[in-house]
Amino acid sequence: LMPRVVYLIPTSWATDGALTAMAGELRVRLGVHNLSADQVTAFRGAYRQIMQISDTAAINSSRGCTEFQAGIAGTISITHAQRSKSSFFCLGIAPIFTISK
Amino acid sequence: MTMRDRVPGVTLPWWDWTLRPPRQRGIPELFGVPTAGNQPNPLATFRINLPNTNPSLVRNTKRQPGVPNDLPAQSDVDDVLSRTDWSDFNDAIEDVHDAVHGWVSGDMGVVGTAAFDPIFWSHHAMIDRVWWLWQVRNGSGNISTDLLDAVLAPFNFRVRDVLNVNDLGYDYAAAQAVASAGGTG
Repeated sequence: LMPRVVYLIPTSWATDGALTAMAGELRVRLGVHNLSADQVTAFRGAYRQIMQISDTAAINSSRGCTEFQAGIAGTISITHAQRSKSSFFCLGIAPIFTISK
Repeated sequence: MTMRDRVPGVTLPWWDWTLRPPRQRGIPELFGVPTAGNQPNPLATFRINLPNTNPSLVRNTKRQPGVPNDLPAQSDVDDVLSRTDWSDFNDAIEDVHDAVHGWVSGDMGVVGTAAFDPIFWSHHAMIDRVWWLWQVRNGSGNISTDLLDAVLAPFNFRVRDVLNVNDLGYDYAAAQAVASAGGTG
């Protein structure tokens, strides 16, 4: 049996961050191998900040984004290597774990 | 987008796993080195901290990458981009996507934990880039209306709202040139 999906992500969170980013100027993504030393430092610094988001507030913060993405990606019993071509339709149905308070 | 909210000038780079030596030998150094600037490299591993889940997950992410030459090659991407029918393209890019997850292995090889690995995002940026290159060539005219209108819960977006990366606030360097040149580069 698949665990029931329990998403405790505030409705506002789902769009607030996106809208903030979308309201900004257009950013040009580069390849990893084309980053300058300063860009590598900036990328690492940004990722370090993401990691420092409070764990205790995970499900009510942006850190919950990772949890949500991980959960929505599929089920614990299916590895990427084992997915079938039709597994697209599994997306969002079952997370690997349930989140409870 | 969370990253951009916190550091406005930063962008998510794509990992072009088609590159071969000497430009690349497997996991890019950016993600592979354990330390950077006398600090732990935040792109090498990520601490999963979910003590209250069932089962609980509290540990660092791990990788068990394969042999560099087993990564998808440029010819595989060219094949993906040659599919003019969206459904064919979707199947083809899914296979390439899955292969990279399986190549990195460890947490990246498991659907439920893959997104915790920092390299997940640059891998998916590469997939997103190929998807954008395909759209530049083929448009979105042969995607079914049902799919275009599908809601991406819990986000208040439909599929059609997120097709154009420019509408999402970013673009890929030289995307137009690469698309017209046949997907190389």
